[in-house]
Amino acid sequence: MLFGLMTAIATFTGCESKQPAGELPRIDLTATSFASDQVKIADEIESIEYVPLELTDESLIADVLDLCVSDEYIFVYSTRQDGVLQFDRKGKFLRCIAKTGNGPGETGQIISLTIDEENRLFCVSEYFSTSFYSFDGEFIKKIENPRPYSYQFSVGPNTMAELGRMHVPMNTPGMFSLGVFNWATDDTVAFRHTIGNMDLMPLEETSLKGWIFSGSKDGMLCYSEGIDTVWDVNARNIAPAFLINTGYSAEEEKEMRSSKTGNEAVDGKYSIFSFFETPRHYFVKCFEGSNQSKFYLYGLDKATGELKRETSPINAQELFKNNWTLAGIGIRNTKDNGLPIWPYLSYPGKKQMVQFNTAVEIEYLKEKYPDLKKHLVLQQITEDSNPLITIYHLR
Amino acid sequence: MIYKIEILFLICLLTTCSSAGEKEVATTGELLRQAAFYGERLQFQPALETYRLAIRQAGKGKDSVALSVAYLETGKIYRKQSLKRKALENGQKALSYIKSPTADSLRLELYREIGDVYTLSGQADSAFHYYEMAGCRIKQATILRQYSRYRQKRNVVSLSEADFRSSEIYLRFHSKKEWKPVPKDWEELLQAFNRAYPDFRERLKRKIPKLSEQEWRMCCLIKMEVPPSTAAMLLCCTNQAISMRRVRLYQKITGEKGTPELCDSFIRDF
Repeated sequence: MLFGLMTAIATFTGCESKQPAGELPRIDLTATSFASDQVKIADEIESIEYVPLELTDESLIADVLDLCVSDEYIFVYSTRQDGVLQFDRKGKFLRCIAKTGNGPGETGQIISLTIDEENRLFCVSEYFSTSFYSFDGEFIKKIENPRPYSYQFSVGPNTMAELGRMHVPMNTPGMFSLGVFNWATDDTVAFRHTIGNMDLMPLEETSLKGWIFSGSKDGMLCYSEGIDTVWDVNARNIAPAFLINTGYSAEEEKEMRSSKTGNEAVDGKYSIFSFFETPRHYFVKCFEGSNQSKFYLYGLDKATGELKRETSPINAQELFKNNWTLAGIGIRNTKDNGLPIWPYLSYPGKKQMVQFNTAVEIEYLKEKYPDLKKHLVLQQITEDSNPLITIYHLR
Repeated sequence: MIYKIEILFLICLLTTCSSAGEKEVATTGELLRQAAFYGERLQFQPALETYRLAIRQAGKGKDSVALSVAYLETGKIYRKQSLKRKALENGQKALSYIKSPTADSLRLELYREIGDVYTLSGQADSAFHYYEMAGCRIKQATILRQYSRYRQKRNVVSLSEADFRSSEIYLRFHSKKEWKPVPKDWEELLQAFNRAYPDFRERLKRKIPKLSEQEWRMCCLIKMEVPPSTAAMLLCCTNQAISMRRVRLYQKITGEKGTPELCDSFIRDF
């Protein structure tokens, strides 16, 4: 019995991670030394599914404004198209739904798309209303919503995570930062009026800045520029997921979060552009305030706390003209030597990540990485093609 | 002591069972109303569960109208969830329970619902049939209009091909008289060709991503059934060269060694 006890102690001691239990993972953007100067992801990827979107007169995509993917369909909201384009998972164009207008099922200004998986409903959010459609494109219902949100994401059956309206002073009646609401019953599941350090400035001088979000294991990871916490918003609660150390002084943080300034970046400090989660890592893409052409990729190992950082050789200002999400600045794809990996949205719970690259972006990347020209799928893409959707299936 | 605890446990168990037995059972009507309430709010899972309970209850009471309503509403939920097969199954089940002439309004509603499911499935004939039985003239007219638009679209494509084959540019490129097309001639031909065969180039490019302009012109001439000797003249090469190009093209497409005739056959049928 004593031997068994000693073995158990040795086992648990040996497995102890560098992250003390109960502490949140932290990405330190002020760090100067890293576990490696290369960020890797290939060992987390099981397979890669490429979906070139069919190009027809009705499905021509200019700039992708939003995108969401279900098991059977891909929905794209694009400029120069009236409504949302629906494709199947092979990329075949099916129909256009949620067209602009004042009639039933028609929309005004679409701000986000999401899918209620359990109810099999496609949800189109506008300011102060949400419309629901079947996957056959049939308009089901529109509900009015008095809350001032910037984005809505489905995190459970009849349950939406809502991210508060950006650039509005926090003392505005009804303003909030994060909330989870059951839109069928009008219940509030979870709610946070404010996020970040509220001792710096009065409410009327504080506002939410650009939201950055991606999927978490069972909900959404949400971050507002200038704060130090990425929040996990799901069907049960709102809780911190991981921390970001930006190194901002109090004055710099005030500048970032003030309702009187725009989207600022601080010279000498790193700002987050996007992030995503996989079962084993958090990945963050950053730039330094004084040089927004150069981007850095960070990868934090959840188990060991190791932080790796890589500098991207791609000029972000050039790439931005081709794809505003800068998907082309990503992690090397050593799985099938395809495009750099940086998903638009990650769904670690479903072990999937979804990425889109525009055709002109792919042509640009082929010039920067000539080996991409040998890739069988990328060879089919010309500068006139619709965007290419890549779905990574994770281990 | 243990003996007393066992007796206490048995007493508690019996009390619980008897109090459960005294709980009021919701009526079929109540269950249907509750399910409808869930359905209205798009709470589909609780709605489906409650309709199932209502069906079980109505089945025991042999309440055919309630059964029909429950299956109809269940079918509607499945339609909203794009589960069309289940929607149709429930619709047909609902129909099977309508026996009384007094349930005519329910029957008409069912026909409309089934028609809607067939419309979503793209089965226009079946949809039309059910709309006719439901007296839904507007929906029937919509189907007819969609049908005639579809037939017109198909006719437009066919006529374009027929128009193309009788067009001046088509005949010009079939002329055996010695002549050399200038870029403007090719532009005119390719524009007309693309109108007659709208996605031919895109599909071909998927097969042969690196399709050169000369190869593309040759494919167009093959598709137009221009004789090889005429094609050689138009492309400013020898008959032998045209044969070699066709063999090479076939190999590019299929990866196999072939003949000029195999290439022609492939392109014409593509």
